[in-house]
Amino acid sequence: MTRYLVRRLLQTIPVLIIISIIQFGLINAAPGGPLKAYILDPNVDPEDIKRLERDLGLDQPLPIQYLVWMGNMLTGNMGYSYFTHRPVLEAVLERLPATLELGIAATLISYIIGIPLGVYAGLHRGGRIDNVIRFFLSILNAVPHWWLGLLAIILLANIKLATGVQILPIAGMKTLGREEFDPLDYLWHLILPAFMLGTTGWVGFGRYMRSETLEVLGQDYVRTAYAKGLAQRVVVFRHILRNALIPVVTLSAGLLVGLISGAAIYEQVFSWPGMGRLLLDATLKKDYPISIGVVFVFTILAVVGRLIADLAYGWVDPRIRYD
Amino acid sequence: MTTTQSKTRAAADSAYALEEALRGPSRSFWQDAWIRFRRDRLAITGGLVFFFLCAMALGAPLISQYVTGYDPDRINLRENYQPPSVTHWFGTDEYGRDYFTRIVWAGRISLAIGFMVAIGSVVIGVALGLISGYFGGKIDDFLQAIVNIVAATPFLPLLIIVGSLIKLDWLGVAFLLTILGWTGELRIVRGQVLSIKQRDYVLAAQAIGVKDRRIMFQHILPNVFSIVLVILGFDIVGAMLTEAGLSFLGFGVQPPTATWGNMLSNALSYATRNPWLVFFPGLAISLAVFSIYLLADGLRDAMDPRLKR
Repeated sequence: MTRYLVRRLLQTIPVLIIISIIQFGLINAAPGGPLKAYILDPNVDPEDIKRLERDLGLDQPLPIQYLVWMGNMLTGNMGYSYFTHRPVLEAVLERLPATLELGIAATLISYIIGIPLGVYAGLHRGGRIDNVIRFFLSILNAVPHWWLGLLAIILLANIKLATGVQILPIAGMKTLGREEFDPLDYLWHLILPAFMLGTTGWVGFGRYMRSETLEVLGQDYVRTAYAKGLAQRVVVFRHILRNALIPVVTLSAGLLVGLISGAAIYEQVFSWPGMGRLLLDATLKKDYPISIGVVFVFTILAVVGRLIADLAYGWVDPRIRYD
Repeated sequence: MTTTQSKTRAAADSAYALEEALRGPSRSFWQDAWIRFRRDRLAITGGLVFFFLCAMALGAPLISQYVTGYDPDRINLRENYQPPSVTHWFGTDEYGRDYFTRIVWAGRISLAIGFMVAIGSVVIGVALGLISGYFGGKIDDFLQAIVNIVAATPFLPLLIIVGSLIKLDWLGVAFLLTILGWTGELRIVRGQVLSIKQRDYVLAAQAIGVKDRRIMFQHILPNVFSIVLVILGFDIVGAMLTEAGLSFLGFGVQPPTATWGNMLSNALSYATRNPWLVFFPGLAISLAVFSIYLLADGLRDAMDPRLKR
């Protein structure tokens, strides 16, 4: 187990190195280079810029610059914003909780809706409800979910216009101007974005759990369980669900990477103040240190998430050995 | 040829003729698949809808000229924000451009990106997958490392940065998506090749000294072809959805070139009062994706009935 963990951690190193090289290349490809903020500022003497370049090592060859930059990134010094001059790490980490909150809520919703839906459809294969579930899941599977989010927002906004009733808030994490922490207000704002972001997950899990349930239903141990007279509930929970759930753990890693990759779109749609929005705002302003910082943190989250999923896979399925 | 041999041959021939007379001529793999596919009404519907969408995209100039009578870029401010009607099927946008005509033209770009990325990914992925699976060893390790790196990259955020550094046209978007897209094919083709190369007929070919290239292309490739055809469908979908997302955020294909994605982005500012501006481009994407899914599922079931659930 420890050996496996060490090997996996070692495997992630080249991944991070290559991605960091790409990111470093992007910073240097950015017009103006890393000192753009100062070059644009008329109050800064060109002599000072030269001196800064020397001090920061920007006159060094690129490979050496890369090593220095990488060392800085790893020690948490990700540079400064071109515009606010705040440390990048601080600006990025400030947005991390919002993204995590939305991502975790969406994942929970994926499980809560997707798994029962899929198991129910699988247990009632060919019935009318199964057909309805299958029909809707396959249509929802083909629809861009952020577009559904847009439609939901338009619908709610029009209901508000017509009747004055705000069924659910459609933008932001909390009511604007409310300073004190109000958990109910946060939860209230979370419902729509989390449900919409979770659609990707619960539609996927629903379809997957249905076919997985059918697979398990055909196994001898399920027939045995029924044959020895166990109640339906016991068979479903103890024999079917537990085995059908195993691959869901692996799928969760894919879901996580997808949620991170899609965060920018959903946070844009729902005006959610997370890292995806930060990435968009920074990139539009060409504040590249921030953009790169966000992608760096995204990458680490994705790599760590996949690692956790791989370990969890072995934990839920004891037949899997790590060696 | 000795008489015994020719007698045996004659006997075999007549046995074969008898069998053929009883069962009809033996059917090839593709004939079998076609017969199964024809029975699958959902897949046929999906295929027809997708064909129809492609035909509309290809025939966009004809539709402009003969069906709707509008130019996709003609501005007519006196007719802006029209709801859907007989004269404007999908309404008009903020410049009074006919929305249906624009969606048809946008489909050209969105579908072209889908096809280009899918074909590019399949060519690269299949070639490297064959090499990776067949030869194994160092090449395999190297390609696997690349696959892992690309799989771990949150690529939409990366594309956003690239899209802000370079103003992308649709070919640029297609190129970038291809670079990030072929690893899925490699993984699947490699897995197939690993199992196929254990079969006896490959061993037999190797034993009589057939060249590696010939084994890969003549004995292994035809056997992974059916799965490649199915992935091709899913690749078109993936590329179209990513393009839509990227263009929606404003970092993909830039206006005035319309794609289904950047039409959505543009429509957002006027969405509350003019919901059809958001509804129709998304509907077009969904219809294309859904029809491809039906078609691809049908192809998979037709070509490999064991996979059917």
